Amino acid sequence: MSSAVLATRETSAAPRSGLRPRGVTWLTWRQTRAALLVVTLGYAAALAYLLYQHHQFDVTTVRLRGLHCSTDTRDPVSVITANCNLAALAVMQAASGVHRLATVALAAPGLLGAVLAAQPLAVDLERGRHRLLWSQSVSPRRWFTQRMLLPAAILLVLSAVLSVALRWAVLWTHPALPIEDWSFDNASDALAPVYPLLTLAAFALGAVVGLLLHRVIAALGITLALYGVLLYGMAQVRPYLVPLHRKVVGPGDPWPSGDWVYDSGPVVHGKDFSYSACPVATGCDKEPSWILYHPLSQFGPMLWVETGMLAALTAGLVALAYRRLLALTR
Amino acid sequence: MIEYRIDRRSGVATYQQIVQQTKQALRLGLLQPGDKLPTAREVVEATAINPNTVLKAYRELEREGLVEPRPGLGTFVQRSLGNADAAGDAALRAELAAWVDRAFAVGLDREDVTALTTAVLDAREQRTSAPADQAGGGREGAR
Amino acid sequence: MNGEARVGDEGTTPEAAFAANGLGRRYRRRWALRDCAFAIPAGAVCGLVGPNGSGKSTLLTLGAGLRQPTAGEVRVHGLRPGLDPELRERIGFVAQDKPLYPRLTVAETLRFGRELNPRWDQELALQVVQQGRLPLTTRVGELSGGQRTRVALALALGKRPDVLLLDEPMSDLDPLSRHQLMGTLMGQAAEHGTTVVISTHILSELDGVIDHLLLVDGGQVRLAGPVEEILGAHLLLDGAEGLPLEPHTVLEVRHTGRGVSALVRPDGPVAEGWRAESPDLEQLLLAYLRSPEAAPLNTTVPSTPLEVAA
Repeated sequence: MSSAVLATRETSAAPRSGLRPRGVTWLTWRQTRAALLVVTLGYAAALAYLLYQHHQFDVTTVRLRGLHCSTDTRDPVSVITANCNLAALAVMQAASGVHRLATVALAAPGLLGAVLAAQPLAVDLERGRHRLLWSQSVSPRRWFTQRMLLPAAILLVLSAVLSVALRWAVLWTHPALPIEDWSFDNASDALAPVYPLLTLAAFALGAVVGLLLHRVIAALGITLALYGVLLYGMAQVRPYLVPLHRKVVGPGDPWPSGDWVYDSGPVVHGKDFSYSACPVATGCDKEPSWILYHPLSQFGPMLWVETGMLAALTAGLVALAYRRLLALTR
Repeated sequence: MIEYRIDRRSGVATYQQIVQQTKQALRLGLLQPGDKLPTAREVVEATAINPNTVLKAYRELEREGLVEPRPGLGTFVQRSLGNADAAGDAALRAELAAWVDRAFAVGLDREDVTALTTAVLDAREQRTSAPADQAGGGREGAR
Repeated sequence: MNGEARVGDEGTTPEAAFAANGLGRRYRRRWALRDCAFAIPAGAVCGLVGPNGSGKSTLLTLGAGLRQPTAGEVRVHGLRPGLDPELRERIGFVAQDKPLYPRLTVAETLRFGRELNPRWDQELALQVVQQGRLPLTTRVGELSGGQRTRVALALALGKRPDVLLLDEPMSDLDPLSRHQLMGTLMGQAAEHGTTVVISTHILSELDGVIDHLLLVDGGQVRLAGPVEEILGAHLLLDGAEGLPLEPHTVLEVRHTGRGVSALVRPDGPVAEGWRAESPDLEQLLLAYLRSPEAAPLNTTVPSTPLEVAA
């Protein structure tokens, strides 16, 4: 009988406790709810824009096909008439709209890491509020964990939704967007699964910087700068994340389509040269070419390698943050 | 219930002030046997003095048999003070009032009167409690 | 409790609420505290006094567990602040600059205390705030300095700690608030036996309030013990020039016109000719602060660590 009483009590208490944040999570929620609302709206707007552009791409592609200018949406040069030209341009615009969205989305993790991680930590330390926080009944470690967990989790979900949608728009729908635009350039980091990890890494970076600097403006600036360095570094190592393929094509043969050509040059007397150092006096146009490239099939694996690297970076940064936190209490 | 007023500049030890004010209230009949004294918490919240001071004063009153602590309930007045009954008290008071009137008439002011009564009381105390302490003796010599 | 036994092992008083042994703290190359030893019993109201930069704040910070000692140890109820997790809810601390979240309202600040402290006493915290007629819906950032102090103290009191460490809590309060809050503090000490350590450089603030004293100067403990014992161990002597001061420990001699005034720790009968009286707290503290070379007096630990250090 007593168990029955307990059970009814629990069910009656459940709706009240429900999702109501408690403890440090309440504090985090109270302090970040406005910012998180803005961020959520921003991601929602980006998603709406993506769906709109994707729809535009479908519509303009159908219209272009209806004009029978060309069946190849990726070859606007073949379009001759003014009508076809305009229709093709519309397709291009829709496609580049998605690409532009991805490029803009790349800036978000750095900004969010600066505003949602570096700034609040730096301002708490700058104003001495860590002495208020750490003299409550909660350990600095638990405070830090719960303070960071809520925004990090929300950012993870939002960035995952947007990046999966982007990947769906770019790779998984038919007709596909022109993949050359995405050929392993920085914008591809806005695709799942790289983007959520990039968001987490930038967030952890902001946390470390905030704990290290204790100065709001400096923490914001340094986080953004380091995030820029991270993106630049990723662009530098990206070609080497998966092994490059090499092949030689004849002078008239078509080059691989959809693949990412990393480098190329003429082959003269069985030796590779660069175009600028062509050893043939009449030029190398008639010579076969060597091509270093990543086939399109490598795109997915490469994104996973990038994701793994970012996961390791995030783990390292989190460890660093906890070490720094410990040092602050020593 | 009695409210204590602590004068930090009076030079009288704080716990003595509480003891004196309690006795005063007992003499004037403001506190009767069975009345409850304020708790230490109530006193210190109102006066911002150290709780041990209050406890020390209450212990002193208890030692003199004036109050009695009842665990869990508080400290209660056990017997009243003032051997003079109300009538005798009134007679003394009237005499004193007449004396004060005379003092003012000859030009003394309030402070002079207080000083005079204190001096007389002190002198009487000196006569009753015979041996002065060492430091007190030194002080007398210097004067 | 095994924690208290731990302190006993180290040679400090077992029932001490706030104790140190060989305590030192270095910031970069400067020692803010060095070789501090004392033991404040539970339920004491202890004044922590000393000039600016003497190490008061450092001592309280170590006691609150916000920093760890560089040398020696500090114990609160036998446990290590900041390291022993069960101690967190038993220590209340108000830092000198009273940090608070300016964007939170007064009510939300109390909610902050409730969410982060299992022993939270909402009624007490509300009482402290309402005594100062603070509107609950006002943001903390819009309050005056003294009002913020009241909120910070409400937060610390509402936590219902066993040991309350307050770093210059009253400095920006008006006299009425000072009286009210000191009364509330003493009420908590009376009701729950809360140990209160108040640092200040306004000596009059402590008059009649404290029963224990810690004088920290130059990072060292110079006086430690019950106020009555410390005052009782000193005499203020007035007399003519040339009167003998032996065999007493002389802390300060001041030449006042025709005579001499000396603060001594008596060690035997006072010579004929001196007028002797007990110093009050303020006289005693000022004399010690004026004479940095005066020997320390610590009645709370068996032997002063200075002997060991020498």
